[in-house]
Amino acid sequence: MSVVVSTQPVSLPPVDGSVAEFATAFREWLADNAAVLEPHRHPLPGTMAEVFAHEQRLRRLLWDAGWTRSGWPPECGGLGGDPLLRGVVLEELAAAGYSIPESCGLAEIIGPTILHFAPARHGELAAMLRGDELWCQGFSEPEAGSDLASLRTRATRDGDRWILNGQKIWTSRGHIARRILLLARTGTPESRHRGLSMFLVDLQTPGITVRPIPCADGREALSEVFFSDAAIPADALVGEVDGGWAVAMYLLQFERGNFAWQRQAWLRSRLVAALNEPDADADAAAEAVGEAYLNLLALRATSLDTLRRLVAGEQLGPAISVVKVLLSTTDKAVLDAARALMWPRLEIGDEPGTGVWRQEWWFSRMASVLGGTVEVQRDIIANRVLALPKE
Amino acid sequence: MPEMSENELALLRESTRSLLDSADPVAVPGALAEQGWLDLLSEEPEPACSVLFEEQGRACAATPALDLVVLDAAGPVSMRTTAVVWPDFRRSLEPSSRLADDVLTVVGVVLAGWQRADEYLVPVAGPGAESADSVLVRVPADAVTAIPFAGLDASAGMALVRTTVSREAVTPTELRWSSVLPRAQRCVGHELVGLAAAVHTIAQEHVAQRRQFGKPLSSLQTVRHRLADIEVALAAARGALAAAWTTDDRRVTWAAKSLAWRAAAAAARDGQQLCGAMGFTREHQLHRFVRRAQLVDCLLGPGAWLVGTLGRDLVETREVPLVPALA
Repeated sequence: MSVVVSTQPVSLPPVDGSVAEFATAFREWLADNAAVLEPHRHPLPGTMAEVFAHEQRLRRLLWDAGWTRSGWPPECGGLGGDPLLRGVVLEELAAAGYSIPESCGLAEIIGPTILHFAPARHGELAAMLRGDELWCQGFSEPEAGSDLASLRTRATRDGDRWILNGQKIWTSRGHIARRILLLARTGTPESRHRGLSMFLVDLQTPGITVRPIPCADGREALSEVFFSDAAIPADALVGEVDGGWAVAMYLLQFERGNFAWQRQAWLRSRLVAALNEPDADADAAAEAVGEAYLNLLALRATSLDTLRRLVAGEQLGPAISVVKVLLSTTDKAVLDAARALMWPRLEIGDEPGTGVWRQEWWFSRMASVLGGTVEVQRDIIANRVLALPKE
Repeated sequence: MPEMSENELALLRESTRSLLDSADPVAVPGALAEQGWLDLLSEEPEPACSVLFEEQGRACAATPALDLVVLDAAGPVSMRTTAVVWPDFRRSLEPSSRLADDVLTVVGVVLAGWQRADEYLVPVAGPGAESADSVLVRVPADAVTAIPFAGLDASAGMALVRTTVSREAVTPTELRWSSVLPRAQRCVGHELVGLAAAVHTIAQEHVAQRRQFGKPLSSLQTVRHRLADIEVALAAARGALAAAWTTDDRRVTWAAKSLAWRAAAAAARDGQQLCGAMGFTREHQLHRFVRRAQLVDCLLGPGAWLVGTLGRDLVETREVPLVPALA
C-alpha cells in the first residue's frame, strides 16, 4: 500500500522546533479550525462502527494538516520529529475540549511495535495511523486471560504460508477492525511463553470469522475471533518465530505508557466536562472531585515520566505496572466524580448526553481488567520491583 | 537552572543520611547551615527539600528543619536562634495567630528545639479572608509562653503556644505567608513519603523473615499485594510532589500533600497489620514511625481534609490544572 501524502496547500507543522513551539502552533490551528472541528467536541453515542466513522473524519483532518503525522517516522507516512509531539497533539486536543478518538489508543500501542519489529510493514502502518483502517490486538483466549502464556491458538508453517486455527476473545473493536496483531502458538503446547509468535493478520482472510460481544455499556466494544484453517502469508510474521513473547512485552510497555498518557489527557477533559454539567451538585461532590484530581495528578506525573523514558528508547521494566494500577483507579475515580456531580442523572436520566456518561462509567469499571488486570500488575510489582521471596 | 545529576543526588542523599544519623535532631538546622545547605536551597530548592525531608522521614528524626525553609526567606534572622510558630492543628490554611486592637494573639505550635529560640517568626492572619494578605512578624521569645505537650508522640518535642503580645514588641517582615506555605507543605509531604518508605521497608523485611505454614509470609498473595499497593502509593506521592515543585498552582501542592499522607497512612495501616502483634509493641521500631506520620500530617492542613478543600476549589473554578507540563 502506498503512502498518501497530504495534498493540502498548508504549511506543515514545525516538527523540528521545540515541543513548546509545536504545542503553540497546534493550539493556533485548533482555534483557526474551530468551526470544522465543532462536530468532534463531544463523544458521540452510537455503535462502534458509527463512532469510528465519525472519528475517521477528525483523524483525517488531523493527518492531512500534518498534526498526527508529527513524531512518526517518514517510513509510515510521518513527518519525523520528537515522538513526544504525538503526546502533545492528544493532550492539546483534549485540553481544547475535543474528543480523543478511541481508535488513536491502538495507534500508540501497535504503532511503535510494528516500527520496532516489522520494518517491511511500515508502509501499511500509515493506513492505521491515518485512520483509514482500524487494527486490533488478539492476545486473550477463552482459556488464557491473565495466564497469557498458556494460549492455544496455533500457527502452523505450511510452505510459504502459516495456517491459523483457534480462537481469540475480548478483542477490542475486533468486528470493525481490518487487521489483528495476533499472538499464536508456534511451539509445543507445553512451550509456554517460549513457543509463541506474533503475526499481523488481515481479518478479511478466508477462514476468519468475528462475532461482536454485546457489553454492559450498551455497545459491542469487544469481540471473539475464530480461526479455522485460515492461511496467511509467511511475511505476516512480526519479529522472530517463537519470539512473540518479546514482541508482546514490548507492546505492553506502550499500552501502559503511551496509552496511560493519552487516557489521563482524556480523563482530565472528562472531569472538566463533568464540572461544567448543568446543576452540578458542588458541595456533595467535592470529596469525589478531590479524589479524582489526586488520581489524575498521580497518573499524569508518573505517565509523563514513562512517556519521556519511552521516547528516549529506555526499556521500562516492571515499574510500568505501577502506572497501570494508577490508570485503573483514576478511570474509576474520575467517572465516580462525574456520577456524583450529576447525581442522580446517571441512574435515571434519559436526556441526550447522559447515555454517553453511562457508557464511559461502564468503561471505567473495565479499566482494572483491560490490558492486564490490576491483580497481575500487583503480582509483577511484588515479584520484580519488590522481589519479595516466595519461599 | 542546572539540574543535579543522579550522582550528585546520591551524594547529597548520603551526606544527609549521615548527618541525620550522627547529629542531635535539634542541632540539624545549624549543621545544615554550616554544610551550605541554604545555598542549595536557594539554587535548587526541589532536591534540597525532597532529599532532606524524605531522609528525615526515613530516619524518623524529630528535627526543626522545617523552620529553615521559612527562616531562609525571612531575611536577616538568625538561623540558630529563631524558631517558627506554625499554625496550630486546624482544618484551615490560614495562620492561627491574629493581630487586633494593638494586641497580637500568638496561637500555634513550635517544633523540637524551640527552647533555643530568642526570637519567633509568626505568621499572622491578614485582615482579609485569603492568606495572600497574611504576613510573618518577629516576636521576642521571652514575650511568648510555650507549653510542651506529649500527646501521641512525645519524642517530637513540640510545644503549644497561646500568648498575647503587645504591638510594640512585634517587628513586621516583608515575608508573605502565601509565599512560604506551599514550600513548607511540600516539605511535610516529603517527610511523610520518607516515613511511609521506612515502614514499607520494615514490613517487607518482616514478612520475608517470618515463617508460618512452613513458608515466609511474603509468599502469600494477599501479603504481596498489600506491599505492592504501598509501592504504588509511594510512586503516586513522589510523582505528585515533583510535579508540585514545577508550578505556582497551590492546588497541586494540596493534592501532593494528600497523596503523601495516603502513602503514609496506607503504610502505617497495612505495615502494622503485616508485622502482626510485634508491630504493636514498644520493642519493635514500627510504632515510632506511625506516631510521627500521624503527627506530621496535622501540620499545614491534614491530608484527608485537603481532598475536600481541593474538590471544592475545582468545583468552583470548573477547571483542572494541567500539571506537570509536557512541553
